[in-house]
Parts: sequence; C-alpha cells; structure tokens
Amino acid sequence: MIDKISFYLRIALKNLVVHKARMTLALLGILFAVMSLVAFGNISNGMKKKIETEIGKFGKNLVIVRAGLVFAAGRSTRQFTESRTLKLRDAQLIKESLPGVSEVVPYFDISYAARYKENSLTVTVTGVPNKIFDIRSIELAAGRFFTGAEEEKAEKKAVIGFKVYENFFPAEDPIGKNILIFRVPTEVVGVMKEKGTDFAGQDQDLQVYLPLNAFMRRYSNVDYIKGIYVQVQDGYSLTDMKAALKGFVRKIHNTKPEQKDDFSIFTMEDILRTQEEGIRLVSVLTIIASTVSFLIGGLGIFAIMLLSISERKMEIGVRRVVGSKKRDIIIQFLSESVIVALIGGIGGIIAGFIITIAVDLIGGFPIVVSMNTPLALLISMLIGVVAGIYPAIEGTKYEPVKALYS
Amino acid sequence: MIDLKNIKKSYFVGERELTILKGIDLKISKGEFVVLMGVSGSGKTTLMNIVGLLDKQTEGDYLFENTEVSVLNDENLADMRNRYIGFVFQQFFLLPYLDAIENVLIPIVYSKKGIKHPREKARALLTKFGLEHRIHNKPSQLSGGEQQRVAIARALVNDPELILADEPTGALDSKTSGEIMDLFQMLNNEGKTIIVVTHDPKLAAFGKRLVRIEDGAISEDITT
Repeated sequence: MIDKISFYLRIALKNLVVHKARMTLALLGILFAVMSLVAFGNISNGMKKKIETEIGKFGKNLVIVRAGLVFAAGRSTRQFTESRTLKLRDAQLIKESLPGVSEVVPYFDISYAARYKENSLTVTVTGVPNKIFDIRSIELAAGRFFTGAEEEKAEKKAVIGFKVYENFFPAEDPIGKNILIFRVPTEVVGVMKEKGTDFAGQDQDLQVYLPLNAFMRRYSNVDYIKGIYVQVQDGYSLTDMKAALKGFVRKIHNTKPEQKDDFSIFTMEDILRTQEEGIRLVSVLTIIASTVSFLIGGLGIFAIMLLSISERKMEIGVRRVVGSKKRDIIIQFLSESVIVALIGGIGGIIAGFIITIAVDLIGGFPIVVSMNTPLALLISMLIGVVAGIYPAIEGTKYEPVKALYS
Repeated sequence: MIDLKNIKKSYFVGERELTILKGIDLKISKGEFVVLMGVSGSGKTTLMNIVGLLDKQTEGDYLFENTEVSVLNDENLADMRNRYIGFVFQQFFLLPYLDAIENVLIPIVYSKKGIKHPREKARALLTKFGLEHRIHNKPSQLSGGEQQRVAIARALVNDPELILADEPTGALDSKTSGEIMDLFQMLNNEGKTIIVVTHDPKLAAFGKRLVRIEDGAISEDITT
C-alpha cells in the first residue's frame, strides 16, 4: 500500500511537472483563496491582539467622560461640539457620590506647539494629576514623574513623550532642561518610553504631561476640564456605570430633560467594538471572496483532471491491462487532484504568511497565526477530493483494451 | 494452462449481430511457444483479448489455470492478469513521462506476489536486454526496438507464467523484429509460455506451434 501511494505521488508530481503551465492555472484559484483566508485570519487576529494589549495598557475598567458631544468612530475620536461645562468639581462629585467608582482622573488636553531653542513641534499637552501614570500604566525611559506635591503647588514640570525627546534633545540630557509650552518655560523631569500610536489615533510619543493644577491656572487659565477618566471597581458593570454616569452628570449640570447632553461617555470597549465591527465586515468579505475563489479553483482542477484523463486513456489502459482495478484508478486520479489542490493550498499559505508579515510589520501588529491556516489546508484538500471524484470515476469507464486503442 | 472450449464471440452492430469467433477449441500447455497467425479481421485479436482475460466470450467455456473465468468479476480478472500474464503490444504502450525503469515497475504496483527488491529486478531485466545505458531514458529517447524491449521487461517483472504478445514486431524493421523474436525464444527456453499473435508469416518459424485463424475459426494447428 505504501508503495502504491508513493508511486501515485511520483506519477502525480511527474504529471505536474510535464503540465506546469496548466496545473499552475488550475491551482491559482485555490492559492488565492487560501492566501486571503490565511492572511486575513492572521492579520485580524494580530489586530485584535493589539487592541487588547492596548486596552490593557490604557487601563481596564475605564469609562471616559468627555466634555461636549464626541463621536467615537474607527481609529480616532472626533469632537462634535465644544463644551466648557465639565468642571473639576464634577470629577470630585463622581468619586464621592457614585458607588463602584474607585478613582477619577480629570484631564485637560490641547494640541499646541512646544518649543525648545529653535525647534518647534506640535504636541498634545495634557494636564493631569499624577495618578494618570498609574492608571494608564505609563513607563519611563528616563527621569521621574512629577510628584503629588509638585502637582499641589502647581509647579511647571513636564513628562515628555519619546518623539518629543528625540526632536528636542538629540544630543543632550533632557532632564532639568526647560522647554516652552504656551511660552511658559517648563522643566522636563521625565521621558516616557516609546509607545507608538494608541488605537484612539493619538501618537503617545508626541504627548507632554503637565500637572493639571498648573496647566489650568498657569498655562491656559481655564476653569473647565476636557474629560474625566473614571476607573470602575471590579465587579461593577461598565454598561451600568455608563448609564449611572450619564444620569449623574446630567443631574449635576442641571440639564433639562429636553436638552441634549453636554458631554459624552464611552469606554475602550466601545472603541474596540467599532473596530471589531470593521474587522467582522472585512471577514465576511474575505469569506465570500475565498469561497468564490475556492469554487473557481475547484472548477479549474475539475476541468484539468477531465482533460488529463482523456489524454491519458492509454495510461489507464496499460494500468488496467497489467492488473489495476477500478478503485486503483480512482485512488490514483483522486490523489493527483488532491495534490494539485494541496500545492495550491501550501502556496497560498506561504503567500498568506508573506502578506501577514508585511502587513503586521507595517501596521505594528503582533504576528499571530490563526486557525484559518489548518482550516484552509483542510478545505483545499476537500476541494481536491470533490473536484477529482467525477473525473476519476470517468477514468474507470474505459475498458482496458478500448482505452488502449482509442 | 489454457483450455478454450467452443468459444464464440459476437457483437451487435446496430441490429445486426456480427460473429467474430465461431467456436474455437484450443488447449495450450505450460512451456509452449505458440504463434497465432491470421490476417486482419480473422478474429485473432479478439481471441487474444479473451485468452488474456481482457474480454469475455459470448459462449463457450474458458478454463485458465483450471479456473472458469466467465464467472470472475472485474477485480478477480485484474488480479489474474497481474499474477499470470505479461502483455506486449505493437505500439509498446509505455507511459511517456516515466523513464524506462519506472515503466518496467508499473505491474509491481498492483502485484500481490511480494516481489523482493523490484527495482533491482527491473534493472537486471533491462540489463539482460542490453538496455543498461537506457535505464533512465524516457520512451521518446529510445528506438522502437529499445521501447519494445522495455515493454517486454515490464511484461516480465512480476514473474508471469504467460507472455501474450499482440503483433510485437508490427512497428519494427525486420532486423529488429528478428531480435525481438529471438528474445521470446530465449524466454521460452527459460520456461515461459509464449503466445505471439501476428499476421506476419515470417514469424511462424520462431514458434514451436503454429495456430492459424481464418474467419473466426482455427484452420490449421501444427507443431513444428
């Protein structure tokens, strides 16, 4: 039996070599189908994994209350309406009055040009209490965070992102240097590790963190804030917390029932969900495309096998004469169609992995192998069987002598 | 070995029944070298197909190795052919994409005899027939005589009792034909039963027995 199979395999491979061009055409359909399945499966898993690690990095159990109406879509959050009604006191009230809230972090952020010597760079300046470093798990490459005491005294201290450091201090130690923010000299006390773009679309390396007190009073002179991170205790549902926060903030803002919210509430999971919906849509399209491609591939193999069998009547005749049975003929031609399909499948997997690696490297996603890979190989094999079965049976219909002399 | 009793074979062509064999009685024993001679249309190829278990008679009994073959199914017949008979054809019927040795090995794929070291055996057969330098050539790189010797090696590789050759020299020049027939004589001397089917009277001299078919019946059966 082993001899038989290895013989069939050799015959199949020799036939493949003889008919390279048309075999390649026949297996292209399978190749593309497998390629898209594998590439999509790997890439989408990589994207999901990245989203999850980012949520982990951003801080789990976070609900964000943001001033104004914000439309959260895709990779970036878009401001719709400005609002100056969210105050520091709101954050305090939320922490004191709502059960299940473990921490609140008010913040004020603005895009602005920072300067150092002749260099100028547009950065996101965010005023925050130093709790943020814990809640968002921020790590330092150099220096330190500003302290609670510095925050209390509204000192002009800054923790800068990695790109800010690279731009301003290519050849010097940034710690202790003064950069200009809103023309205010601000001492750099720490440099954050390189983080890349978060999935809300903000480049974390172009951040500058300042103490919130200082930022509100000494830089921008405002009495309102842009948002509040609300950290929810374990065991409380984020959905319930969102509803509770909505009611609570409307109450303390004295919003009338007919009035719209002057704030927005969302969670990282909300953003995740819109992204996953995008991935799901692409996944449906991929499945449709690969199904069509598999069908075309199957038809290609079917046609090639029919052709091959009518060309190889003499071979069938010889085999039958020297003692092969009908089922041997079936097994042989089936193994040929399966091999063609599997070569397409393996080619598709290789192409899929090349695409995966390229996209993951460009997009900064972790490289993940999805279950689509073995699945695609299995489907290729099935296509080979299904496409080969009818031609193989046709091949047994020739009587030995007639096959020889036709 | 072969015992044909009143074998008849007819086909329907449309409404008309066409009788090819009209009652053949023929016994062939082990070790014989029979030349089955007849003009084209005499029924000799039909008879060879029946003898070779490739076709079934319409009437009559055929005992092959004491087995009544008319009751055997397709699979049994395939096994019998593989086990007992080596076939040689006018057009050689070598597979174009396999080299000489792999063509020789084809019957081994279906063999239940458990032949040991088949590759060495195939090599030895090809060497015996003077083809040691052609072992890895494709059929298209071989002359007609060489192709036919590869085909004979293929017929022999599974140790059959009987070699059945249908016009084995039909595509060859007379010198090469003589060489091929000498080869059959050699195999017969080694104990193989040989049946050569031909229309060529010159081949009669190579056999030990001449059976002439005319119009679907045996007209002459002489041992020379």
